[in-house]
Amino acid sequence: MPTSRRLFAVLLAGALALAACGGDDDDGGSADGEGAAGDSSTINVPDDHDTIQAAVDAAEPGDLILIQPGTYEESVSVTTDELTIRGVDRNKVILDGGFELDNGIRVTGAAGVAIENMTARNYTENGFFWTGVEGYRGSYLTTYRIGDYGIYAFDSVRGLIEHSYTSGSPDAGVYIGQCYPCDAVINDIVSEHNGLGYSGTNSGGNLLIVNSTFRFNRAGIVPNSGSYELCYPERETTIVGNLVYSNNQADSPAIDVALLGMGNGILPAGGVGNVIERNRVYDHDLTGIGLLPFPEEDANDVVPPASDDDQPCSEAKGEPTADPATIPATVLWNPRDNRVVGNVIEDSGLADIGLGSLEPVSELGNCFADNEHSSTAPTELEALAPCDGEGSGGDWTAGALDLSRFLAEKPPSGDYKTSPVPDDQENMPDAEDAPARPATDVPTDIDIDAIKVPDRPSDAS
Amino acid sequence: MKRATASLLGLVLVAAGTVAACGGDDDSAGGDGGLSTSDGSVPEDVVVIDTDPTEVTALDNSFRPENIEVAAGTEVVWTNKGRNEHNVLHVEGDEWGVEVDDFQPGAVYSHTFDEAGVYRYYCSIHGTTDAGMIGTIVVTDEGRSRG
Repeated sequence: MPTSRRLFAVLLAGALALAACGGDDDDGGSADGEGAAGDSSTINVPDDHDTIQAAVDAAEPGDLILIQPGTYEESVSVTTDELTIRGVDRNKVILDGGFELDNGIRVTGAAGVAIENMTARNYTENGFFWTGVEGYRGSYLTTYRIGDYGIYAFDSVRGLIEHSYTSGSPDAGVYIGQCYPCDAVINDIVSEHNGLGYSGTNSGGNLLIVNSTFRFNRAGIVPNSGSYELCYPERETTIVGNLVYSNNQADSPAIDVALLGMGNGILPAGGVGNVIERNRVYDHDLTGIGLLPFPEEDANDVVPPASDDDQPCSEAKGEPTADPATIPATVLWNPRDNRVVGNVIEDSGLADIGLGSLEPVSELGNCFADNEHSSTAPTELEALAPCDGEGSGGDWTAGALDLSRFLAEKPPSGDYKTSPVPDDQENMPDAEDAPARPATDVPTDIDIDAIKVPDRPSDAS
Repeated sequence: MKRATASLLGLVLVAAGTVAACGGDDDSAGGDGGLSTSDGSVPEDVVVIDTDPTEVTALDNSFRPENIEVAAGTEVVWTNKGRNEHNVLHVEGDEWGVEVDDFQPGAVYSHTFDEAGVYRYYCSIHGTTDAGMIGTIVVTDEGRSRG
């Protein structure tokens, strides 16, 4: 019947039009984690395109770029939203910068890009790098011999870095910086033989570092504040259930702050409102957990008042800085309002838990409770500053932390170009066949309360 | 130092664009490379600065102020006050800028902009030509936007 056919044709046209627009529709509908996989195409490298960059340039939002084993000597720039870039074999899909290229894969301003199951090595700057994005995920990634950061998220929010391994970066193996609230999770990573296992300058706010291992770095987990990035100070990072040990590695590559922080496990340098709970921390030359100030010379701004702690990064970036004439020669970022609870800390050369500053530490609002430890500096720190109830009113100067020990000369940086080559790492399950999964469902929910203090591993010193 | 209004920016843009559009010959003759951007756009938040030299700080990973307006003949001085290495690369126009090896933390680079125009630049490590670590120098004829 003509009328029915016309009606059918209209409906069909409408349906086709909707289908054609489906890619954009997914933008709004993929927050439940289903992503754009239903409309995605798979672009194979090298079958469809010789290089990863060519595949990225040809891709549409929602597409999967599937990379076969090989060594890809390229620096990939991604500006397309919601791509999934995946290697079929984490240990055989290798991006190699030859110590000449800067970044392995850099995602600039593109939302929801996921990078999975591959290795980046020998880059002069960063291995995998997201900057200015909303939504990112790095899963089953390996980086080594990288000149700055292994896995790096800057000025980016809503992220997940998981099941990954990083080594041989002079600054940090993993870094999340300049975001508040970050709404990001680092889960199940191993970071070793770096300057810092983790560094996070001026980041925090629903930022979780959990279930991960930081070992054989100069220093382990180092959230930190400073005006050399925007959105200061660092605040509200939650560090739970990590193994942090033997971060005294004298031959690892290290920039200046890594040298300064050497010999410490968890070191919030000028950090604010961090939660450090149920970690196992041992074998450190200085402190297992050290709450220390960061004295910043030639700073660009002064420390903002505590009343600004809740100010989102998006607003803080627009704030004018102080008149340079009013900025002191050294700006002191103090550790304040941090909570150190239920950790197991052993074998620390100076103190299992240390709290120090150039100003009175009794007024900084940090608290300590239920930790297994044998020494603190000042002594009886859990009594002086409990997390519940009033402090003992004891002597804060007794056994005060000797800050001069932190300023002692350290072994010079090793060469990142000759840092250890890691063993093969665990592959992503079903990498060949799993559908595209752009980073529209991040971060994942983590049951923080269920995390227990991890066991001491058999390879422990 | 003051923030320019959008309307003022519009006038500056038109003026700068006009000067730049007429300045093609001047570029080749004068060699300083004042050019309008390819799309003629100027960012909204441009800070007008009256001082010469004018300071721009390279932080990790942003230029502050990101977008400035100065008078022709002004020397712009970039200082890397971050902990990472950066570079300053022009997007269009004649050669100016500084490479990574010469712009390590603590390093200083300067360039004098003699020709009116819109000069966009970026750090190629931490940005593309239009996103990430980017900046703009809007150079006006002396007094054109300040009268």
